[in-house]
Amino acid sequence: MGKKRDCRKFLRNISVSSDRFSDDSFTAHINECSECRRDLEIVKMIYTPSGNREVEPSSIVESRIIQSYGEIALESKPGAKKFFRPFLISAAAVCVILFMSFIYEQMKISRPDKNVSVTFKNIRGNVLVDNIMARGPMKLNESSVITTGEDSIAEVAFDGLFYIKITCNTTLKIEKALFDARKNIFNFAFSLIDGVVLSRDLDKSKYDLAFLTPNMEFKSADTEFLLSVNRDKTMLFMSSGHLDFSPKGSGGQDVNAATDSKYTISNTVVTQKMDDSDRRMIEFVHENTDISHVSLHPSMKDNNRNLMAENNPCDKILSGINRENKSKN
Amino acid sequence: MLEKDRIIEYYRNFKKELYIYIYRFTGSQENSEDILHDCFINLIKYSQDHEINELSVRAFLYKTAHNISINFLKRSSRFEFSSIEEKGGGNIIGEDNTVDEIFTRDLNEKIYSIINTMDPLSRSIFVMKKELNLSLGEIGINTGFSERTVRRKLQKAVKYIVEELKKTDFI
Repeated sequence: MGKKRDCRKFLRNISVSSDRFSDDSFTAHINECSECRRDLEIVKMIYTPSGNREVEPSSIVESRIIQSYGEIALESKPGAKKFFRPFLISAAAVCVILFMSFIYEQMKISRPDKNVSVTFKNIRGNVLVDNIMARGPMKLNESSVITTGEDSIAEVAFDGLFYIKITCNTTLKIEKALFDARKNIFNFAFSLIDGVVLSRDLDKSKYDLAFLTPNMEFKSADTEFLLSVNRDKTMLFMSSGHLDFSPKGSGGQDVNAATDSKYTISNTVVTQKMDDSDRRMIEFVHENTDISHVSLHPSMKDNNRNLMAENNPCDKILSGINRENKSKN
Repeated sequence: MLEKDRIIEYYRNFKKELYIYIYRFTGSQENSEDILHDCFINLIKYSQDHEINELSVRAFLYKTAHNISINFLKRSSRFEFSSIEEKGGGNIIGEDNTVDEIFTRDLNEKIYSIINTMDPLSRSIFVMKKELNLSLGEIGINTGFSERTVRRKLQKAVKYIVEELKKTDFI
């Protein structure tokens, strides 16, 4: 066992260094152990170089290295190149971004406004759209003219954002109904030529809603109001909210219309507080149209006739309006 | 960055031993030249950001050659040993065909066929020892391992080769 251990140790040592070959202790072991003598010979042969000490790489390698050196040196030139290339790339990227933004803005500017439609509903009676009898709900575009007859009610709405109830004997024109591509907002304008409308808008942020009458113009903004045009007079009853209107021909100074106030606009502007009868009139317009919805149900048909007979909405409204006109006159 | 003249000087000083090492490691003359070229490219790039002296150049080159060769073996997934004489390449001086030389050639072929089965690190260490007669310390620096690890690997490699040679009655 001791001999084997010596042999293992011997092999380990000669494996890594030929310096020990002539060591006395190793010489003694070699003289005693034929196996280790053999191993020593093998290790010497293993460590003999393969005989290709004169081998050299081809001359091309040196040329390649010199060429590569030139390329690396060029890439790594201090100052301009090292700084300039990333700078150029950054500048180019910025230019591209600016150019694309400019093109986009130009496209936005040149992009035509898109026409949109409002929803029209013939609630009751004879209603004409562009002089043609309206039979049922329909979509209306810019320049459509809605005319309600005696005892008729109609409604114009857009996407639940605003609605305009058109009472009897009223003519309302859709002056504008489009999507403004530049401002990214819907743009509506209604011209009340004659009659009475009730308007309520619910979400001002998404659209501009303008009204024009022969005597004034304004933009609605989260408001509810009753607007009446009768010959040369416009009346505005502010149910909620406030707005600024521009009377025509009276010096042009804007008037701030406040809640619960009414305004008579002709050559002058007369401002008053709404009274109870004014508020009831507005409520009536609301309620009347609700009733109209119910009256369309087949089971309510008969009731509808009675309602019409007893509560002619137009009479109620007109009487209210006329009462005001009389008092002004 | 090292001057071009210095690079060329280093190349001419170390190309032989590096080439022998790489060749014995990869077994292919063409690949050996590519690896040799890459070693010096790495040296040039390294010198762009680091100070480098004569002593560290050699160690750097060997370490680079070792790493690139190992990666080459991993990619090629096989190691084919062929002697330069068989390929007909290289600049061999002398074509004596004595019995001893034939025996030596056959023995080396056998040794390297055994080496093929070892891990790349053991192979690298063995080639540095056999072909270049580098000390354990030098081999440790070139491979990035401790002298103790180099010793252990070398002892194991040689023991294995001896056993295999005895098994096949080659010797």
